[in-house]
Amino acid sequence: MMDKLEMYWSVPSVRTMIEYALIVGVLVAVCSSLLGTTLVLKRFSFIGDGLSHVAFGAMAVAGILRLTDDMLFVLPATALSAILLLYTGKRAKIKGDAAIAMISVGALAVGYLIRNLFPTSANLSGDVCTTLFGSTSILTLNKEEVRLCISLAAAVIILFAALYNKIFAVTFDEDFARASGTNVGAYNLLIAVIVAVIIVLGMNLVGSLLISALIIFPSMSAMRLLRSFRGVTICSAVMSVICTVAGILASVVWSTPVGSTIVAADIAVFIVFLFIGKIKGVIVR
Amino acid sequence: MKKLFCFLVLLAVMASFIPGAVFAAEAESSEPVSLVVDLDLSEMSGVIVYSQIYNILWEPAEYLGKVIRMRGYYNYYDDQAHGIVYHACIIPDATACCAQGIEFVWNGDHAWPDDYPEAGTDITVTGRLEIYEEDGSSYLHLVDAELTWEQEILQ
Repeated sequence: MMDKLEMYWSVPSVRTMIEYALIVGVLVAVCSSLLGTTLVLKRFSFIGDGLSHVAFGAMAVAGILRLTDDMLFVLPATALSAILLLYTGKRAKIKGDAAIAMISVGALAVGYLIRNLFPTSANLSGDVCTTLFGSTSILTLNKEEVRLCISLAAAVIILFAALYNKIFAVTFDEDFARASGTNVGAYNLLIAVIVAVIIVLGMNLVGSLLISALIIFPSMSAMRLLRSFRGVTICSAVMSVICTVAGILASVVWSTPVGSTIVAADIAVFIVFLFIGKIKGVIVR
Repeated sequence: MKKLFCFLVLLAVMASFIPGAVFAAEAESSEPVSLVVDLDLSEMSGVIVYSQIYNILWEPAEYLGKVIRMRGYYNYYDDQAHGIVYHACIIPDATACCAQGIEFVWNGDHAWPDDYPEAGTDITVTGRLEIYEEDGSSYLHLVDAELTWEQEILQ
């Protein structure tokens, strides 16, 4: 494995490709795991799936509009859906899982329909497959895309760090946070926008069908061993980065799909943590 | 021990006379041009080759004039309207739903389809990347290409 990686590293164009993939992979892994803990605790684990399908539909519309940078349309559309789902919260007539399910399958169906009615390339099934499973798009990033990813990820990490206490309060008890003077609505709005940014960034890495795994698995793994919000958040970020780096390198060496390999690594870590948690529980008892 | 050795030798001799026994042999272009390879993708994994070809096709400027070696499968397009047959080395991605390819022009005189491999045969192509115009559009291809593939020879 190391021989092969060394060989790839010796070719400048291939090295640049892998470096870009690792930079974006690590940033997406950190961002998704940071918010993952909040979403899992707020019982919004499946929101990543719903929003990624919205992004899929938005990409289809962006294709028709012939936008040079489809991010200009995909990001606002996904953010708007996230706001509808998270911000309206308890006031919405169609609540929680039903709203997510409707938006998820609705956007997927409409997106695929649009792609069929207005194909933008000769290889429709290839385009759909790439968007759904990420395929190799993480290895085909250009400098501008990497820069955009760094900027957005930096914004997400800075916002999360600066507003950590408020996000913590809103995550665990909205009513208490409201009673103590926190503007819960504004923070839910912020979380919704951040989630949308992460989803759009993560689609390059693992594709729209697998993005939920990046949000859920690291947090769930960390929760098998740790109890504090801070501990779970830090542990999930570290594990997510390790799984993503391992997944990208394994994929490059053994020629497996990047997204699926990263998610497989996340699942393996979850199983290991689950066993360790069980053993730890038995010993403590 | 001696009996076992004799048995194995006998087996090997018999195998060489079996009608239709299949052996692999390397088929090569008749007039190989010695090209110094700038980018050798032939030993790299499918994911890397696919992504690299994608990058070459999207941003060809920094690869033009370079000698590229790649491994993939052979395919062709018979443009009967213009009387041209285009030959390409194709590489699928890891999910096997997409494929990228580069057209090549085999160096020397070769008749199609007799001298060329069957479509779908694994091939290795080495050639210099160039851009050309056709019907107002720009296309990339590998010129002065050397082509090799594993050929089944019936004995």
